[in-house]
Amino acid sequence: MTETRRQALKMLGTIGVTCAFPFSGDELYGQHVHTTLAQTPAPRPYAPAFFTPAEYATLSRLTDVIIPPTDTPGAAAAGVPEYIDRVVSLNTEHQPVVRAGLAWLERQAKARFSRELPLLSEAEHIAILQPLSDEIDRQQRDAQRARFRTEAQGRLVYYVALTDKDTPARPSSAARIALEADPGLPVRFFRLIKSLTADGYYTSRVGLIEELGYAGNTVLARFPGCPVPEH
Amino acid sequence: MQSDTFDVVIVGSGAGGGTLASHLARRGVRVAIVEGGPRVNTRTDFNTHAMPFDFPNRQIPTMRPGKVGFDSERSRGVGGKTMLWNAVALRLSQRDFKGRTHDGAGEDWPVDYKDIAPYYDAIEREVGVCGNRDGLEDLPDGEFLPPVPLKCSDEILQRAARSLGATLIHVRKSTRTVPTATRPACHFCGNCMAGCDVVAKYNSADVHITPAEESGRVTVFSDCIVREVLVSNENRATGVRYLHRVHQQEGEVRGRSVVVACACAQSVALLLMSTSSRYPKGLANSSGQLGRHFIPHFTGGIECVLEDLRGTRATNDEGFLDHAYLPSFVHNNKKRGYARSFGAQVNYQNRRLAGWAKTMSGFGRAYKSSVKAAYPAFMQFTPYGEMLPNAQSYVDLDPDRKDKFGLPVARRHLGWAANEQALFNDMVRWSLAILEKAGAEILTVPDGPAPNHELGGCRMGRDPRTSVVNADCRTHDVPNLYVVDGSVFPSASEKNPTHTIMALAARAGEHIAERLRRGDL
Repeated sequence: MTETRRQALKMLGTIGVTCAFPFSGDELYGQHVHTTLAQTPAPRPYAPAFFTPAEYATLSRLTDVIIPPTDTPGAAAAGVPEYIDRVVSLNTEHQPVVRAGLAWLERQAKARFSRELPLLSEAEHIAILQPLSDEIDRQQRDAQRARFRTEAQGRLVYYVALTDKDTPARPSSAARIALEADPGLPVRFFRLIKSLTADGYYTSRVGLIEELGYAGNTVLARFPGCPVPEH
Repeated sequence: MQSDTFDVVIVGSGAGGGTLASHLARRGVRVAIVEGGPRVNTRTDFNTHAMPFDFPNRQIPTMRPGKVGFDSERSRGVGGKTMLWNAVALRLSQRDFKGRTHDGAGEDWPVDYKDIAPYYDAIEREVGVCGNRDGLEDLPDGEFLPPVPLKCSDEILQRAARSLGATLIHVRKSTRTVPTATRPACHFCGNCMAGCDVVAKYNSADVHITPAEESGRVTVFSDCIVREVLVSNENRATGVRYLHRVHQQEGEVRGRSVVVACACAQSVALLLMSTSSRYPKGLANSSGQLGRHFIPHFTGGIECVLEDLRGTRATNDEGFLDHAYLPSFVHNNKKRGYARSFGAQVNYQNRRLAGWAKTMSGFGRAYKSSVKAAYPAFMQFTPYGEMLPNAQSYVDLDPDRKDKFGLPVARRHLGWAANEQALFNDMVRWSLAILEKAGAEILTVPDGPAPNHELGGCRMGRDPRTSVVNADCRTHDVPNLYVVDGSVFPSASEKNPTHTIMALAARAGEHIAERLRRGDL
């Protein structure tokens, strides 16, 4: 991150941005302040609501393997494990997948490297996870191809859309399937954890602003368009 | 106040109801607006500038802490969906009004473009619509404020589209690019659909309703969820009965005429709920057509990454959301194999979320750097198609389920027929062809058609046996009952509907005021 960017972020983080308008005299508009970037939550220790301390340590390590620290912090430092715990603690479909998935990972670590999972090197983590990741990517490619084929056949698609927000969501019974005997579990688990890690990281202050360089939510007197690069 | 009889009682305060109230008030008509939701202050109540990390679950709520509104589709708030719309403002063309004549399927409107054009003019003058005068035969120009400049990504798309015979234009939106005494120009601060807290973007509450209230001729009953339109033995609408959103008590607002303008499916639901011995199947439903001909737009969103911008530095291009629009370009191709057409809303993503990141392949350092490289190059490209009415697509009341107010839930039934499937396939195919030309890596393609922009259900027509309202938005059955919103569209066009809803409201306002002046109501 450049020094200028750092300074800009610092500024955004401390003072907010007051809009300026091309006319005066309207108090409401003159006082219009972009404040949300100025809120800085105080760091505090997080007590997981769903995960055991051992699971949480494993999860934290896993998120950092998925999005590691580089010139910007990784997933764990960005608060991703906390985000995942909040989501999973409220989602009864995720819970058995994540719990069984972490247990599966532990067994892999012991069986292949004779060590506890948090003690594995990054390379060893990758050795376990790479086949799962490859399988997810392959499935995604195939699903997209299949989608094209289905549509190309021109079949009638019929469904009833019920979109009223007042309708209470039906609790799913899919949550109580026997996961231990489920050969698809490791891939499903990794897909879920990767999704949650990506969502959590790229919606964090670290991920969105420091890593991706989000530059919006501020005032442009004029939209610059697409300047022709200088030769 | 409740013993008053208003000239006009309008149910709903969005693009239809708000515009109509303003146009009636300026002609001296006394209006009551009955809105199910609360008063909402767009300057203070929405999370316009929130970031996902302001919230532990990273979900940005619509309302700021302690502010109420937009909690159900029966109780959004004064201003309705215009508070949170993207403001795309397109005129329908003569082809759109005469779809059956043009390609032999669906329905014609009982009006022509030239009947509605003066009202588009009026709306553009009074609210401010920005855009470029492109001279396209199928997307009529209007009285526009200057357009916003295209983004670099738009220019890449524009070149690709041009090479395939399509024209990408500056988007047209009800957002000011030139200030007035009371509204600033857009300053590109971000996500218009989270609510525009300076009212550079049109919303009916600030632009139409509040000034009309100041005239003393408009009274707003907020938090009043209308559950029935009242009709007398003489077959006249006499007012509405409502349920108070907070204390659940019932009340009535009386008027010499009633206008239902509570957004498509809810307008249908309200009329279906308003049964009587004369109208056992719902008010204004002697034809049995109420709720039929439900014709929402369908979309097929594509997510992609433009190679030319991959790895560049992220810029501040979020403000105003989409700056460009791809108008219909296939509608005159007789060999396309289906009726109707599609247009595309492009490049409208906000940059505060990167939900697409999880679909990028791999993990670890390479993954992290590939997401960073893709971030400034990510684009959403969404074609919108027009559906034809079919027997499987209608709105009715759920016989079993009630909402939290104890009112029957409005239920949507949708069946995509062969024409929709063919159109959907073609619009996705064209979109992918343009994106391929633009040098884009496709991240996701659509599962199938997804409904958007609800339209139809109280369709407009000349024949009382096959339609619900006439060309003036007046119900065939009840001479002082009107419907003014997207439900009256007999055919949907592929173009965003709100500008047309506002033009219809302005036209209906003129008509109703004239009838009141003649003592006809």
